[in-house]
Amino acid sequence: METTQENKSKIIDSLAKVLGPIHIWALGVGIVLVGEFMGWNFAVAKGGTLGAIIACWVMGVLYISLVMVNTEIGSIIPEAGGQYAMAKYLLGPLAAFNIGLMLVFEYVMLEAADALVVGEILKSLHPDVQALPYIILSLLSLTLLNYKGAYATLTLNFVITAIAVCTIFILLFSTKFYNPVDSLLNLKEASNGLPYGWIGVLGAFQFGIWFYLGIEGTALAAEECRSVGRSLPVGAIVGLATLLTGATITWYVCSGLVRADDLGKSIYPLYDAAIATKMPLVIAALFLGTILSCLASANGCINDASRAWFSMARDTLIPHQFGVLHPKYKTPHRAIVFLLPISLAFGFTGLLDQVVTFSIFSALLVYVFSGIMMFKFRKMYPMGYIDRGYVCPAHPLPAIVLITLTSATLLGMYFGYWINIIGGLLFYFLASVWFLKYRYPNVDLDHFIKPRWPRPKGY
Amino acid sequence: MEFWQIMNGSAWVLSGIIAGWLVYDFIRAERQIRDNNNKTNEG
Repeated sequence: METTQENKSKIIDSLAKVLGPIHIWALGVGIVLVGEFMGWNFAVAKGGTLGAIIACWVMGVLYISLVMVNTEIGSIIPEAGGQYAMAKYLLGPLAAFNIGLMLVFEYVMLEAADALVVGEILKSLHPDVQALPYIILSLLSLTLLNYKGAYATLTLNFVITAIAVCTIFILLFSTKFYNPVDSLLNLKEASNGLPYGWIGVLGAFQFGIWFYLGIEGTALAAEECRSVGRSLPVGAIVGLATLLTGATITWYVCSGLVRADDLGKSIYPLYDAAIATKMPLVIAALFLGTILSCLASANGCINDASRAWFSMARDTLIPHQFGVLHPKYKTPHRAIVFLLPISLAFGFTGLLDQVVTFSIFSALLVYVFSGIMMFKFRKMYPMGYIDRGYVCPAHPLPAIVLITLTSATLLGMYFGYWINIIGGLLFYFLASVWFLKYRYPNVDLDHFIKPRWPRPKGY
Repeated sequence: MEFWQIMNGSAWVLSGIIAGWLVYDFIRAERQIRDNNNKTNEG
């Protein structure tokens, strides 16, 4: 029977280092930008027009805290992999397994939601159009792209993400928002304020997250960066700034063009806003922008999910067979192919808000762990004990803000989606039982973390 | 046949082609990995 070490030696090569800051920006924004084109508007259904924008900004604060926390810990952890790698070093194999699984499902659900929207928006062209073949075609073609290599897919992501960003500005300027006389926006008439009060705002948080969810995925591409120290911070910060601006513009335009009741249940809010302008070129631009943003997001998600699965296999948390690279393309082909049926299955359901909610739930659990890890990290490595590339300012405030806002969002998710919470918790609990019973005895603890990991204070 | 029905059919056909290629290349890659492993073991 092969030992774990023999299995690891059969991993022929590491992932090729070909990515620069622009690719990291494209990966981060490309995954997340789709949140402007679909999903965020369910916050209007839960909290009203004002509830949605409050949720947008409050969740922006959550993500600023998350980026600060992640960047400090990430500057010490000697491995790429974001919160998954952090959990390996700070919390141990069981937590790392759970966080890895949560990250994978966060992205798998997101790519399913992306494909769903592509199918539905094509279906809106004509009653004879079926959504299902296009959902399947979207996932298969992007899987093929990722199967054959990261550089081409992420270079393509940069182009289609840039086009999608431009279409948001086309819609904005077509409304003549700067001219009160000619402006098409009528926020007062279309908006419904806060129909459920502050409880509604709490309920809206879960979909406010959708504007930004996935930006932490930039860390998963670090192993393929030419220069990690420059690419990651520059890419993540510029990405967050892009998203904050885009989120506010999106809310402003959609809320001014589409009535709140319709906006709250739309599958493609920006496209519906474009239809409300009655300008064919704008409608065509947003049709294209929605499809491109969904494809860019799904592309990034397939990339991130497969790399996370690959990393977990290399670390023996899941069967080592997934830690093998394609002999020609040097991609984690087994991980890519394994995850495809899962996203297809969820894409089949057609239930966008349910798929989105499971993705959000997985991400929220990761963020809770991130806040906890920050406390543990500072205890293990207090200031002055070790040099770090970035210092999270005003600790423990960002970690407290992160945990508080994440907990509040989970509480808000209870309103209307308590079954999803129970289902999600049950899934991760059963996965943990499986891990402890069948995988933990096989985890190679001697090689689980790099030997040059600095000793914590007191050890 | 209507235009959109042709488009639907084309999407199914393309999906089939891509899925078929993925299966074909996956099997080919696995065979190569197995051959490489056998060579390593023999060495």
